[in-house]
Amino acid sequence: MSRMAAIVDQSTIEAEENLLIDFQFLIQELIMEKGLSRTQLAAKAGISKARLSQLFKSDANPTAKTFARILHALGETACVTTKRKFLSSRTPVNDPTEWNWDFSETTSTTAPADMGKTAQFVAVLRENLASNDNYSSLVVEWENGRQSISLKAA
Amino acid sequence: MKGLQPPTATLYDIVVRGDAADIRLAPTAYAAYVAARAGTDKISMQRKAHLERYFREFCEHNPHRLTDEKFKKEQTFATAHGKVAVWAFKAWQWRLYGSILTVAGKRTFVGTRVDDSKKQNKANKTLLKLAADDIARLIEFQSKGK
Repeated sequence: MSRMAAIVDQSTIEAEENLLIDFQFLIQELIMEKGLSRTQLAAKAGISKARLSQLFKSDANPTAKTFARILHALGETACVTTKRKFLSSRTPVNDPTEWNWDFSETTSTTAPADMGKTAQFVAVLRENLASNDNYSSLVVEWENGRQSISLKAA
Repeated sequence: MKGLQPPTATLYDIVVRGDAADIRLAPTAYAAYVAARAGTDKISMQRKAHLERYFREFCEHNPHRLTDEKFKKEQTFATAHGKVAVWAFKAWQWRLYGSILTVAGKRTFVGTRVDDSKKQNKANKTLLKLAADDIARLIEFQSKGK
């Protein structure tokens, strides 16, 4: 019986290990975001705490189903794509009217301490707009307890 | 009479520099790290990939995503200069021991000892103590402790 020799190089191993680490970092982020303990997450996912802890080790090799199970237990759904497809799917913002936001000149004010989800939203928007030359800054306004987000033209 | 000057971590090599922190290694730890990176077997390559990500995570962000499986406060030792908390980066049974100090005004993990024996899954108590002693001798720790 012939056996195919496993050919692995550094870049292949980096691709494998970086995906594992991305998974581990994502799960840890979600655990912190949702304020869950590992014991609680393990119970929700129907796995032992020891098994859950094992998934955070460097030699872990979780299956895609295990990944989905843990995300599901965290109330999340995986969105599988490649970096190339993800980047190409992002809509370039050339026409300001594509965005249903107020583009008037505005000034930023100090945000309240508990900005929570809005801050996260802003972080995502900042990242998405980072490559766009048309807009230099993103401004969050706080008025009478209401939050609105505007883009400020460069 | 002028005694021996305490060593300073500013002379240690910076292996990763980030916005949030740096990682510096004492000469012996640096040599062990370079040797670990040079390995061409599968586990060495896996370890290299993990350590690079962990170091980058520590230096670029607050290390909240580095769980105990990756970066852990192993033990605190009482020394002549005060208490030293010894932390360990670990990947594939390879451990780097050191402490978090302020070096040249920047938050820095200073690694002084490496356990590459790969014989156990637990921290090596002897190396932990040696790492604590190394850190206690550093001028950065002494100045911080005063």
